[in-house]
Amino acid sequence: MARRVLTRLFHTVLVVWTAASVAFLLLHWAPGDPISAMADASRVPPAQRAVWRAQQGFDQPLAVQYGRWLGQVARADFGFSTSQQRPTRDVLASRLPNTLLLMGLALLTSIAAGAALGAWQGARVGSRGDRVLSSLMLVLYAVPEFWVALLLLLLFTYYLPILPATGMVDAVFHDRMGPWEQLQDRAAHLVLPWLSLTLMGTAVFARVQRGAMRDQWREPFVQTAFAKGLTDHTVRRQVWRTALLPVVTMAGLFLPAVLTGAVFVERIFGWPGIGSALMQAIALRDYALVSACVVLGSAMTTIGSLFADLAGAWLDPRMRTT
Amino acid sequence: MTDRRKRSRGHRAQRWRGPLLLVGLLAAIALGAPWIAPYSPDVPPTYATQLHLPPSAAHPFGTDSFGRDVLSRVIHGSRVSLSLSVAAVSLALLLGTAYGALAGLIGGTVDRLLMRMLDVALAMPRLLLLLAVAAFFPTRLPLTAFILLLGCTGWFEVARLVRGEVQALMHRDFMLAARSLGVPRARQLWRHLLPHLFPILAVTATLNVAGTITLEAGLSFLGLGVQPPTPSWGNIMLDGADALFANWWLTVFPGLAIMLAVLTCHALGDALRDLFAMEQLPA
Amino acid sequence: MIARRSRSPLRAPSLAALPLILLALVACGRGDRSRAGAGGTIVIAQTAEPATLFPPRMSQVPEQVVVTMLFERLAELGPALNTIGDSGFVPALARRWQWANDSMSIAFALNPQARWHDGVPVRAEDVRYTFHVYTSPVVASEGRTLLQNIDSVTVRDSLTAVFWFARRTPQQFLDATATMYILPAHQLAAIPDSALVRAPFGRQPVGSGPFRFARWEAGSRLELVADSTRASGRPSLDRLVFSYVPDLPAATVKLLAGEADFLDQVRPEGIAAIRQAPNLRLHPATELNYAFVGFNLEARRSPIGKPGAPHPILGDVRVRRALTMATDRATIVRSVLDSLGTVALGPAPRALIPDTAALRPLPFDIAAASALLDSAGWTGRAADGTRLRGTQRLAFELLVPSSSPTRIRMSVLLQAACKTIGVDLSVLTQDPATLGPRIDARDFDAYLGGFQASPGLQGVRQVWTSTGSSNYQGYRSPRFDQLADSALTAFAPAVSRSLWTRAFQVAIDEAPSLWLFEQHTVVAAHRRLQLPPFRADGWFYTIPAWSVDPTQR
Repeated sequence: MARRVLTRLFHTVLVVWTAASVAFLLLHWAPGDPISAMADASRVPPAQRAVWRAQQGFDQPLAVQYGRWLGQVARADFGFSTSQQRPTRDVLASRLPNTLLLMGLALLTSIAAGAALGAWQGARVGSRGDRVLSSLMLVLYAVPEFWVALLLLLLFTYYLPILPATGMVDAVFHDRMGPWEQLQDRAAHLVLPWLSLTLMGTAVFARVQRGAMRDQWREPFVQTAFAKGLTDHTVRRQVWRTALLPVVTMAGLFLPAVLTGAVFVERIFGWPGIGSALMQAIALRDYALVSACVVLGSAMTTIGSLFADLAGAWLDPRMRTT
Repeated sequence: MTDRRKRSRGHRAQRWRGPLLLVGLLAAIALGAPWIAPYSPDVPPTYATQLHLPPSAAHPFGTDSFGRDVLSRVIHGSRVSLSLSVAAVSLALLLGTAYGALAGLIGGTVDRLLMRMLDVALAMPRLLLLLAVAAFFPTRLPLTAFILLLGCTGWFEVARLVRGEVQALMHRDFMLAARSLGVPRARQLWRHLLPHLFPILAVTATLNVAGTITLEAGLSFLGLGVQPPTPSWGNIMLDGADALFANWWLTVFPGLAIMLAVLTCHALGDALRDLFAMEQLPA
Repeated sequence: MIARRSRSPLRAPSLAALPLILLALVACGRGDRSRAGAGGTIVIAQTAEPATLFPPRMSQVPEQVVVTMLFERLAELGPALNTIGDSGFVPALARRWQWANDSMSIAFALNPQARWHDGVPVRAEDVRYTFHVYTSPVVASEGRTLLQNIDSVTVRDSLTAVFWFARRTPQQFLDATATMYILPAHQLAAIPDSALVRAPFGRQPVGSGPFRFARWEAGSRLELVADSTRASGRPSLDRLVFSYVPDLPAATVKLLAGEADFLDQVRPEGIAAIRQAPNLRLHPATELNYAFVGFNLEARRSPIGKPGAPHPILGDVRVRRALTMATDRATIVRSVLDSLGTVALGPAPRALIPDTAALRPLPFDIAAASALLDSAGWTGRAADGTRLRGTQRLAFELLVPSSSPTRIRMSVLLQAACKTIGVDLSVLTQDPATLGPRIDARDFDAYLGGFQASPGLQGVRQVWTSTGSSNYQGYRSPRFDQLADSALTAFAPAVSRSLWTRAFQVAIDEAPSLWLFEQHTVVAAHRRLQLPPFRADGWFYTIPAWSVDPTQR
């Protein structure tokens, strides 16, 4: 057992290192560098930009820059974020919790609601209820993210002003509130971004769950179960359980998204998460921040796939024989 | 549910009618765009007088900020958007299925190696991949190259889903039987696994079509997408995104077009799945 | 887990209703949102956030806004933007100043009551240190080039700093006061220059301005508090909260929903909605910007600073003039920017051009444009209508930054205009980080550029003269160089004015760029805000004089 854990750990480190290195190289390949991305060409002549470049070592050979970066990462120091002008560690510390809160919550509710809806549909494929829900889910999925988010924003803050528009807390009064009010304030600011994400997420998981459900009904074990005289309800539960497998795989795939966040939703609701910071970092060629995000993202991916493997074995008894 | 297999052939034909009709409709619109579209998709000579007109009899979908007829642009845009999304998603499905099935089918060390490589790929923000590729294309990207690009960066998730499915299927009786009978791997894949993979692939395809259409628009900001003045559903919608609450028609109609494409894909996937389910799945 | 929580999938609909229940709960819980008792606090919504508040390294508007509130300059430019001599300036951190008889030095007497926000008095040493930081090669401030005429800054006594100049110029006083925000030496001098840019000071600044720094939650809000102990007068507002919403439509909704009092940019699409809102008012503001289609006059990839071979198409002045004349700039600007833009005149915004009435822009005249192209040898026609000279197509590429929706829209209309005279203009939008290096390397035919100008027209020399360090287009006109140089060194306003008029007319006639548009800023503010007139070089300079209607606090 210990050996298995160790190999898995070793694999994880290997994956993280490869992913981060590839990201580092890709970003350096991309046209432009942090200096060209941030300076206003009219006021800063090329000669001045060359000075900045030399100062921060962006003019050194790629191998030198890579070595320096590797040394930093080994010391768990992710360097200085050029897009935010502060240590990358500070950026992660301030942005990561926000994204984890929003995306974690949205992912959990999407999986729960999606799996439940999909299962309900899967048990009555072709019925009127199934068709209506299917169309609804498709519509939810097909409309672009920014559209849903902006529509919700307009609806609940302008036409029917019951929710705050953007940010995580009230910009003026949050600091003067009592603890209970502060909690309410936070929850109120969370609703709209959470809802935008959950609507789409639910659609994805419901589609996967429904598809898997209706297939499971054709499996031999269903007939066996009915033959054994099990009740409709019991069979349904067993079918659902085995049909959760694709949902779990999908959830594993979505796990890294908890980290990279939903860029549009973060942008529209002014949610200071890591997703929007990463996009800005890519646009501004912030080598340090992008690499750090990929390190975290790849760690999440391996965890996600490990989770999917384990959960798969737990859900489908037939997979456990190995 | 169980009585599905008893359905008559006529019934099945009916199931095909809807999707085929939709596909035909979309294909006709895309191919016949220059003849169907009431106006040219380019800036009209009198643009300054027709900016932001709401839907009317003359312009059923309204006009955009250049005075262009949105209906005509949506019709012309179907060419780029449909060919792009169908081709890119098909490519992604092909690559992803091949990779995932291979990993699941062979198993063991090869599987682990392939999966770890996939982890690396999955951890990469797609935007970063595309940005790096953009470096090799200082000028505009031809459509085929763009499709290849989207397909080649879009299959990682498909591969992981397929591999998960294959792994589960490998323990099923029919696969155990096939293996113990010494059926060659290629045949195992083609005759036994693929039909079972269909549902998950159909779902993925449906989900990805919409994503690809909108992704194209998002990428034009990198100089990778379709450049003006050529319309695509994605960039028509992006043009109107700023004015969502003033000029709703700019985003609603291309949005509906995307939805139509997704519905078609969905219906087609269902029909194909039934075809496989009825004729090939071992019970 | 999931399987156990909801025992039966049949209960799914109740789960789906969960969001609605939650919504209702939160909605009930939200109390009265009135601002009663808040005193004068206002929320300014902006779409971009500062990168740093370290004044020598600020460059964009969001940084300028906050830095201007936190720090002070020695003197401020008055509303007329008169940069010749010192008559156009008003005292700020310096209470008064005295020129040496030979005009080669100016002694600034600091306000003796000025205090840093940590209580330490402001001293002449701070001014000397600030000059040292701004000119330090390792700090590499953008403003360094603007300080080249200042030899040194010395401390005469604790409250007098003396600026020594290399040459006598009309803009000496501007040089001494416009660039530098005075920094607290006691906070920074211990930090080596090379570490200044990344020092925590950039995120927790201590200044001497009307507001003191309170907090900055990166990505969402930044808060400043009035310095109520300030001897030179406190601002009337108590608190200033900047709320950062990257998405402009969302920021507009925030304003409409009453969560922000001020939005610093309104696009034409947002105007109607704001106009209808009873609580909001639109205010015109100016900004010193101008945008143009910059033609590369020399062969692609010629190095900057050295004359290269002419560009095969755009090196010809007749082609450039034809392109301008074939473009209905007035209509294009009106349709993209509505009332928020005007056609640009030349290589500077109107507000900085001394005599706009004397300039004669090229007319919109398609027939004349076609005739010009004919005379330049572009007489053939390809199958698609593109003009040919021999086998060469009259086709070139226009680079457009993807960050600017305005310019992307302009490019589509330019494309249509070019088509009418048989020019095949292909548009390529690219993200600014990709575009930048291409323009640096002069690897382009044309680009849709825009510059933010500063008072004084010194920027003109940097970009548009032969020796200019940012002359990306290779515009080398001896006539323009000579006129601009003379205009910048003329002391008599009337002389400078007529020289500038001639210089700008040359830049119009030789058409190194298609002078396209100037964008006007419109800001939206809540009616409870009482705003004095904005300064022409930025709406934010007057924030200390803003107040909130006492009945609506």
